[in-house]
Amino acid sequence: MDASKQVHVPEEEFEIPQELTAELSQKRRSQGRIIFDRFVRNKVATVGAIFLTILVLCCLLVPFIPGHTTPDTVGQTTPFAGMSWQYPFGGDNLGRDTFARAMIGGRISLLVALTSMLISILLGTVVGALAGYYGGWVDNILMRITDTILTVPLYLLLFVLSATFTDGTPTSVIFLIAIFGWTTSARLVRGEFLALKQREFVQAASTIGARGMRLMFYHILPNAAGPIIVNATLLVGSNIILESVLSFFGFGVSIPVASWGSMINQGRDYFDSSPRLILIPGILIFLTVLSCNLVGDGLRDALDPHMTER
Amino acid sequence: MLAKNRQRYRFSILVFSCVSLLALILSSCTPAGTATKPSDTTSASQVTNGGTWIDDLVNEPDSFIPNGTVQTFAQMVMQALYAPLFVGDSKGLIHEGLTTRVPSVANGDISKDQKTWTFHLRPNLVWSDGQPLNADDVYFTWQLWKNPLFAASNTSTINHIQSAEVSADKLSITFHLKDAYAPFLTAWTDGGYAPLPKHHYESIPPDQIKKSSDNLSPSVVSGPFMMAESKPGDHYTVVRNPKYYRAAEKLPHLDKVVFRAVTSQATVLEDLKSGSIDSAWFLDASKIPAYKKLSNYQLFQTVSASYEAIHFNENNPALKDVNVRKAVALAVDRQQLIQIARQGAAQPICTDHSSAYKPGYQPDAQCPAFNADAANKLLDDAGWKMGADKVRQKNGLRLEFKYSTTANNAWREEDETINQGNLQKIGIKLDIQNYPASTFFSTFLRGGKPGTYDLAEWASSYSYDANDASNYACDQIGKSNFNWYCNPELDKLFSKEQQTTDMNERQQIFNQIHDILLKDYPTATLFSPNDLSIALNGTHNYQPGPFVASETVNIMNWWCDNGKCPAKG
Amino acid sequence: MGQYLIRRLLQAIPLLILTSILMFLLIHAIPGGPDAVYDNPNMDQAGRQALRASFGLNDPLPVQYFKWVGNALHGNFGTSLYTSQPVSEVLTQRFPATLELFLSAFVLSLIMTVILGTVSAAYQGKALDYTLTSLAYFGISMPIFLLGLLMQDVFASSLNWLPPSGTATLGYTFSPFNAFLDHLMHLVMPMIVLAVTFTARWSRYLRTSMIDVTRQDYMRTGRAKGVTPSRLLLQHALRNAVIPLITIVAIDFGSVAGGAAITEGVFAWPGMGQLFIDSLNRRDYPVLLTSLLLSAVFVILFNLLADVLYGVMDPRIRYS
Repeated sequence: MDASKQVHVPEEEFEIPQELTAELSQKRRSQGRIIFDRFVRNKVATVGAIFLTILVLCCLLVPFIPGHTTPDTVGQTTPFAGMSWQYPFGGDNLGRDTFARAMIGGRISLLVALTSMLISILLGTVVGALAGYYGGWVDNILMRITDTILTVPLYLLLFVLSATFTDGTPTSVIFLIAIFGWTTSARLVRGEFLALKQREFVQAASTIGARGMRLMFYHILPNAAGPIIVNATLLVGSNIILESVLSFFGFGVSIPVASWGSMINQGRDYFDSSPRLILIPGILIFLTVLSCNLVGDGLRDALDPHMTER
Repeated sequence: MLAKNRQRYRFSILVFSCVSLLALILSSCTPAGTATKPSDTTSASQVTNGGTWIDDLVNEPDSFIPNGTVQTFAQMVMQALYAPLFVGDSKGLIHEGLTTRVPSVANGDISKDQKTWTFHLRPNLVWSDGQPLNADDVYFTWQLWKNPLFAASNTSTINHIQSAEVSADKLSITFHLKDAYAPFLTAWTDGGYAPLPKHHYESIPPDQIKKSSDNLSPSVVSGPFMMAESKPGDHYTVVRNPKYYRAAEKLPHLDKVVFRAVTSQATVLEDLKSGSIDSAWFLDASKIPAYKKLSNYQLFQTVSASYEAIHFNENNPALKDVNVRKAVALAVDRQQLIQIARQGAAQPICTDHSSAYKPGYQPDAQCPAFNADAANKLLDDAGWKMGADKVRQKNGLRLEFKYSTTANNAWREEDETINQGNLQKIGIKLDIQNYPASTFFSTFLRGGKPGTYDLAEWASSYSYDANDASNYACDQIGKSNFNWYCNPELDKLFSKEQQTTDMNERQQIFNQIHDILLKDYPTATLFSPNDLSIALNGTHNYQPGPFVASETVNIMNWWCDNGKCPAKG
Repeated sequence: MGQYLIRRLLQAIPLLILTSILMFLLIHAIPGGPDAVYDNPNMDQAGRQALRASFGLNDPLPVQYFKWVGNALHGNFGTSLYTSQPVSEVLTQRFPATLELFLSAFVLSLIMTVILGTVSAAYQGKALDYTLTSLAYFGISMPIFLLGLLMQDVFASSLNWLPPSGTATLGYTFSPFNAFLDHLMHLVMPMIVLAVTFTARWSRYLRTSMIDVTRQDYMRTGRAKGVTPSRLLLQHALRNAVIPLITIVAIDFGSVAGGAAITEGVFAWPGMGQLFIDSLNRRDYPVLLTSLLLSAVFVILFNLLADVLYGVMDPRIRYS
């Protein structure tokens, strides 16, 4: 930790000196360990992380849980069968095991949402950072490209790309979603960089010789981490939802392969007679999005350079 | 630190409450409106005139110029706006409209060689602007429709006309056809194919007619109603036409009909739940349980003109083998499809003619029974050997096909999933890929590229006549025959059927056509989906038909209890 | 500042040209091309040719583009392939409805965002914060069509307070004031549904930046100087925390000309979003192209506005 950051100790910390002394007596820990300890201290974030872990495990282990490996088999149980021990979420409109489909669908949804989020954030951060840091013609070119993409509505590109590109595989869906995700984060990161590069600590760092990449990614970027992480957690949610929009137009993963989005889409016609079909994937999406956010919040606090080492 | 000042933030909760209250305040002041027509005091059992009927259209109409569109929802509104020469009914039969009788060989209006057709108009007909309506208008309409500049939506029947002449009293018109053509009347049946006012349109260049404001707000009409308010994308209001030729019979019964364009089926259901509309047609089969819960509405399931079928793309070499096509037809479980995917709302048929076609429908057609074993044996015998991956193959060809239909259609996706499972059992692998309706029909079907689609599922129908040449004739390949299937024997039967007006004789020919279709299997018919419609209690005479004008085929006869329609609006 | 504005506006012109070319090409790359609109087996070749000619579709692509641009500069955007009506007429029928919906939803969301974001930040880590967080994520995860249907079920079918869809109660004649009131009641539900999504997203951003700002030096200075916490939070923190939000709000408002397809669809609100999806499905190129260009103009303008507001709110940002 460099000296300038040590000065930023929030005054709250001095109100509980006994805890501080306990901390001080400890051995110095590694950076990762510090972040982990800070994260675990945040109860709600930990709950979110545990939920996500369980969900991921459930989705990966799915064939062992329902006792069969055929989530797409029509007539596994009777159509619209109620909940039972054998079929905890009941049957869907075709008598398929909703529990097995929800878990298999989770695999696709999580894979699509997380991968496309990562691609979007990486791309957006690089573009935004370059534009915001260098300004001038770099900024102009990058931002005009971003603007041009922002001006073309999502649906149009989907229609066009559908003809030549989508083949109903998760990879094509990931790519389609990632194309649209990065523009917002690029603008956001650029905005942060514009504001941060005028700040004292950046000027200080540059006076002592920090240049280019080091200044951008070591000094400025960690300070812009908050909005980026929030944007990332938001993207996970909107990507899962976008995936359902894609299936709505027939560009999602092809039926009968399940994803939460396609399950919601199929359930919407039975919203009145059998709301369970839409509620189960809906609640799973909600809990996933919420957990991602809580974990994101926890990470933001844990990564916050203003915080002391404790 | 910040939490210490909790009380200081109370005001924000106050503001929050205020905002949420705003919605409630707005909702509590119900604006007082007056019904356009005071209610009558006559008893409900007898027909009363008056009232405003509100109907939801599930798609937006594109044109109200007769023969300017094939879109069903535009046809429905045009039935209210125009009086046609012939008009259909809820059973799909053709009756006289502006004419005095339906032509037949017996009454002499059709010549013995069936090439000369005479229509006799009623005397003293007038347009809504008071100008006389006579055979000159019919002649003008024919001239306009055959003009490529007008770009009429249906010229296939009109093109059979060689010449026409109007009688001296302008009350009858005689058409001389190039060849005998039994379905000739379909070109003149229902409001969507009604005569146009010559005095109004002759001054407008033909290619400008559809671009004029008359396209969505026609100013001169002949039907039971006239356009009063045209708000594209929102609603169209039509009001009683006092100059309607049946006005003396107190028709139409209603004062006004409002057609709302509501493109989402879910929204239509919400409109029904809150009782804000009187009727809706073309409802969604997967919502049947929800419709049945609506105690104040009556749900109608009527026989439709269409047949849902799997169309084989014979450009695919594996599908050229009739045994493969027949095996598919044997392996689809029609009962399961009807019960699960259509929630029972379909008729089991195996030909291309539902019971709406008289002639056309063949009740004793030799339908293939659902039999996976027979299908397996058929493929075994034809030399399609089961591979290690449970997919049959022969000479390097695999029975793996792309199966497509219109995207975002719940019950069709259920069909696909059920069929996929059943065909897997006979060693045929289906990969499902659906396309948006517009792309599906125009690009992918017309392209006919194997691998883009091999098996395609959709519903098609013919108009008031059962003539099915369009879907199977050799010269329609790539235009409307998307089976890429050609059988000269069938072509002969089609021209024979088109030249026969005798009902029984025609039925015999259609039976022969069905026999060939059930031998060659260019398509595997699944069922005939029922048309679903709904009307609010207190409305009467709501009787949708299977063809052209469908829902509004008898709109002039609709009426409401006490001259006041029950919907809230 | 003035110079900066002029430069940005000048930059917008090539951007617009670039976008219009890109969109023109994209539209013609849609599978099926313009022919798809005449997908009617009953229409003969002559009719189809006449129709193509009357819409100028026989020219080579660049010629079509320049003709279109030339006409557009004269205010003539062509005629709809679907309803054959002038495009400008079609758009003027739809745009006010969308603008009304967006403006009302934005006002509602901004108020709610400032309240929820500030409260959430003030109670950071407390139960109230977590409740609001959960609510926000509920709003984000909720499929819009489902929220719309639920509201219709509750407020229209069960409680009978609000009309389920449309813009006016049909079949009645109202006095002008009652007609206005009737229209407002039709607006309530789509407005709230649209606002929920915006509020949920924006309040997240505001909360985060509020928390960031409260950790800044000048906040501590303010506290040390004895500025009251509420004054500090609302006057100093909020002003700075709102800066990142402005980008998001401006970009979101730029989408006004594109409309809100799903919300408009659920409530049968005759706006731009519905028109756009319908035109796409119908391959109505003139309408599509014009509404795309209109939305591009809006996006560009509001991005510019976002940058300018950025400078007004945060004087440290310099325009180079």
